[in-house]
Amino acid sequence: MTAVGEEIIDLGEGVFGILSQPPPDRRKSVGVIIFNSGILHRPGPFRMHVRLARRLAELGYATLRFDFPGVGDSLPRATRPPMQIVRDVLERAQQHTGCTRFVAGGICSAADLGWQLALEDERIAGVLMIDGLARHGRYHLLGRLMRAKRKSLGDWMDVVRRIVMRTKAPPTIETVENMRDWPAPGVERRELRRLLDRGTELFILFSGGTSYFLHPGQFYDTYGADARAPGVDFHYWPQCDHMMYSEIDRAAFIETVSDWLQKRFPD
Amino acid sequence: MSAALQPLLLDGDDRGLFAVFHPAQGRVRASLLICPPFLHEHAMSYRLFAMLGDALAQRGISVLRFDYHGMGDSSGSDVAFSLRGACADARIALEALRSRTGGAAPIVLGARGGAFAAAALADAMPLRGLWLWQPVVDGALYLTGLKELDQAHRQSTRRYPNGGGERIAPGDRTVVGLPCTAGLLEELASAHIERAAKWPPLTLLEPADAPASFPGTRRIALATGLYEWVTRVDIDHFPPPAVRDLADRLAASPEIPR
Repeated sequence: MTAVGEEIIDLGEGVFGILSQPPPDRRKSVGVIIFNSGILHRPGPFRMHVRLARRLAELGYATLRFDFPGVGDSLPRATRPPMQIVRDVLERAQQHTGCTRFVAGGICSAADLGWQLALEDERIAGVLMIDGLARHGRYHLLGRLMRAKRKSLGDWMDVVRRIVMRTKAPPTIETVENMRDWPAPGVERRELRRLLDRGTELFILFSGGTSYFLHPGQFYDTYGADARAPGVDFHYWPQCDHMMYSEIDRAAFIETVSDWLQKRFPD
Repeated sequence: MSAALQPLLLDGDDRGLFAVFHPAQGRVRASLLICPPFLHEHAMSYRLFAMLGDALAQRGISVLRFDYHGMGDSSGSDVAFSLRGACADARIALEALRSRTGGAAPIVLGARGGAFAAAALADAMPLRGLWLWQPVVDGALYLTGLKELDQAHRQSTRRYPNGGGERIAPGDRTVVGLPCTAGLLEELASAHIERAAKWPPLTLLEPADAPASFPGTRRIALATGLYEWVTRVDIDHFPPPAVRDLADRLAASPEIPR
């Protein structure tokens, strides 16, 4: 249906995927798996995953998108942990593409999943981590101060309104850390070391649209000295929102990821 | 893949369309084509119509859903979407439904902007029924609303705490985050749905407190949780009991044999 060719593949248990296949003469040994951004179905925010998959396939990377159980066309809700599901998806992707190594991940919880899968399965040679794990710390505080400085009078009135509303609302313990499946603080440094020791390539991008990542210094504080390792490609796009609403950001994202893949996985 | 849902790639005049067929379970009572909303509303409502398609199939109604060329998983770049193209796509999808369900006239559901494609089918061929879900009747008014929504999001300090929402590449046109052509904006600005005498029985699906798009028509009030998505850009969950209840009411429509 496109120049690169797309096919529907059965991933079992009521789940199917759309595989963007490269032209046979351009096929690389590494495939790509893009996970759902939250509950948004497989075309991704503003269709970005469709465009990314087709672009990567043009460049030779077979790219799979699918809906997790309970999202989009995967009607039944999950009866198994996400990690079991993605392991099976990986098996099927390998059968269909012939690739033995994959890059996996996506935005938000998809970034977390890509990271976790890489820790468990050595076939994951690269991780796409967009708005993934980061801890607060001193740079978060600095970022908050910088944001506060930029606020208009209207913004401040909005803040006061929200504080008033919060005092009326029942107390909540919901924070990014306990809404996301993040390990205890400090574990991520050991995990990064393991991934780097194994030669895993990491594309890490933080947008300016989250409430927990406000300053690039947070990244280096979170992951320590290994954050500057050659296998880590870190980007901070403060003017980009979490869902890449702007076409400028989506186009830049597709280009940046494409360049990264070609440099890190040329064959 | 479960037998309850069949993903398809439809080929038609270089307009490769992604579609999903929900075969009726048990005795086949009717067939339904869903012409989905477009632009950002396509993604917002995708899960809702997947759930509804499944619920109707369980009630003996075969359902085919599809993505327009340039939308969702169908072929074409974002700017390939046009209103005229959407109407052509609906015909391709209708043929795909007929080829799977036999020759009987189907019911067509047009949701939001998909009402333009559904109405065009009703103008052109005999249908068993026409169901319009919060239909966009006046394209110019719809476009004005989209531009206001787009502006609100671009200026939102919650979406863009560091600024940056106003950035648009020179020469680019976007509407609610999605690239589009000047041609699409012109099409929308002049699009209007007029009820035709030859239309089949019409049912409106709208919130109870909304004015009827076509007065004097059978109307099903949409429950809370099923209609608010039209004002949003960020996706939300849909309550399964409300979807099942709606499917019960639609399956009891007079144009569907018991």
